[in-house]
Amino acid sequence: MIPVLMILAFVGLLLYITRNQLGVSGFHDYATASNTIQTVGITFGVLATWYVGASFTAWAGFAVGFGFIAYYVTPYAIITLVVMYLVAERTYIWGKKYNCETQGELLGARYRSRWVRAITGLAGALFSVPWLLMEWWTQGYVLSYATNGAISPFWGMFLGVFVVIFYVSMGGMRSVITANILQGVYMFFIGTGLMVWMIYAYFDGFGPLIATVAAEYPAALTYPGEAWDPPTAYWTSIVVTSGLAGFMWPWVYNKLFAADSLKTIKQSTLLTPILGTVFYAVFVLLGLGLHTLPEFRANPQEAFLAFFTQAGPIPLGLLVVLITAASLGTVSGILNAMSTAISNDVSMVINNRISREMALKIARWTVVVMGFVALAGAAVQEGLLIFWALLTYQGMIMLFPVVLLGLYWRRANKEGALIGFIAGTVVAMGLYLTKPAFIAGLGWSEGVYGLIVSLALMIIMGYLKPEADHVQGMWEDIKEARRTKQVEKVTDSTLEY
Amino acid sequence: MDGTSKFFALYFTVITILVSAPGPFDWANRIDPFVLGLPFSIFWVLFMAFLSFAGFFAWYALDAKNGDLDIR
Repeated sequence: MIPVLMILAFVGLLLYITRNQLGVSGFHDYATASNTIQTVGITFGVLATWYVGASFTAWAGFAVGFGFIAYYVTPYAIITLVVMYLVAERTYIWGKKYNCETQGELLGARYRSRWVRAITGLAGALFSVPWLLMEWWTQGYVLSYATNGAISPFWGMFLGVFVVIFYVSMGGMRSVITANILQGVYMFFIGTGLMVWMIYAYFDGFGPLIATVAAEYPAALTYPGEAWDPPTAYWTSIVVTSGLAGFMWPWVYNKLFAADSLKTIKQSTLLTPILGTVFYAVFVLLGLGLHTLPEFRANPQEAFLAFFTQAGPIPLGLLVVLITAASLGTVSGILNAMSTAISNDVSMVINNRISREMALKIARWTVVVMGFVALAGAAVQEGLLIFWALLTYQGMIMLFPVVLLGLYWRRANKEGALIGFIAGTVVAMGLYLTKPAFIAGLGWSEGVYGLIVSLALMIIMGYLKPEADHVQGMWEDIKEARRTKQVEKVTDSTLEY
Repeated sequence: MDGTSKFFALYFTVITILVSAPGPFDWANRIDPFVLGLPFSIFWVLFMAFLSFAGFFAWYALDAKNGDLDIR
């Protein structure tokens, strides 16, 4: 009962804090919080990308089941922040100048293409569905453990979905950021402290824990861990594809449009990696400790919940609140991005006479529909959840050349972006579905082959056509903004393309 | 891309190679020697993260000095 009361207290606190934000002034406010978010909000908003509710099930499964390999998140998160730093200036300048509210809209403006806008928006939304699935699954088990089994995982998922859908559909980006801040503060201070306490209480501290693992399960302290033998290229692949794709998620990228200044975005890269690395280092060490205990190693995805259940209602309560906080912060960001992608990038491109009020309605209904579609998937999920996450990165990485070449290469054009994105995705997903022997043999993941195809096609198409007419003007925008330190918005709120 | 961004893109590329590429990572992927109480593999990943923090601070400081953060 205590863990349930703690969850209710947390959700009540979140709703109390955001009571004035439940109700937005329009679509722009729903999508971007009217560009008012400052450094703390962007820092925790980005941090929430990696430390999701499913960290304590899917990623814990990786740490408890295999050990060291779970540390792939640390370098990948840093690569993602480098990408963020690189795209920040041009995204901010063009986003402000052309009134962009989503990643798809920015790419549409850069390439002057409705199709680029629609397809990148749709891809971001579709590839995010497995993330929702993982979060719903996690919520189901959280509520089941919190009630000592009185609520089944299925009904736990159902209850969790209702709370999150209500929260996101009513609140928009500002409530997403508020949830992220609350999640981040709780996760870093209480979450890290809780795990350190558990390590000292059950393993006599970090030194004895590592000594036990080194003596009994030394393979868990190096890549790839026990019971499988992928080549080193697999490690390289998951670090690099996740790192390059990590900032391509619309639910992360769109937070740049919510920032109040360029300085805010870049400042957020200073604190984010430190907070994330400290938390995650302790998290994996606890996972390594649980690896030494057969009862947890047998069911690694539920190991954290089962372990904290043994520790008593207060530690379990603190953990389930931590997971609920992470899940709310993540899911609210995903659903917000999905809904704005469907209403802004897909619906408004199909029919550009849709009013802003109608776009907001579509966004809110998209939250409801997507939430329940993912719920159906979560109810039938099979296999380790972590591999769902890794699969989505194999698709999402195709957006990386579209974004980075679009921002930095003048010759990048819409034909290359479309053909490269589609061909790369077909290659990556085709390899995933057909599983040819060389994938496992060489170790490079499907997304690496797709990325090479996508990059090559974009470069070839860039040289086959002359530079597009509008590009000179966009590069002038950057020079002008650097010179005057101001961004002048275009007076016409929608670009014709 | 300006000179500062090019330099730091290269800096982070080198870190990425050291922490993930076959060869450098294979060299670091071992338990001994323990450094700061950590197996070498874990120390290596965290040490690269530390170099990254330093890189971000230096990049930000240079951008601030050059006035590249003041666009509003």
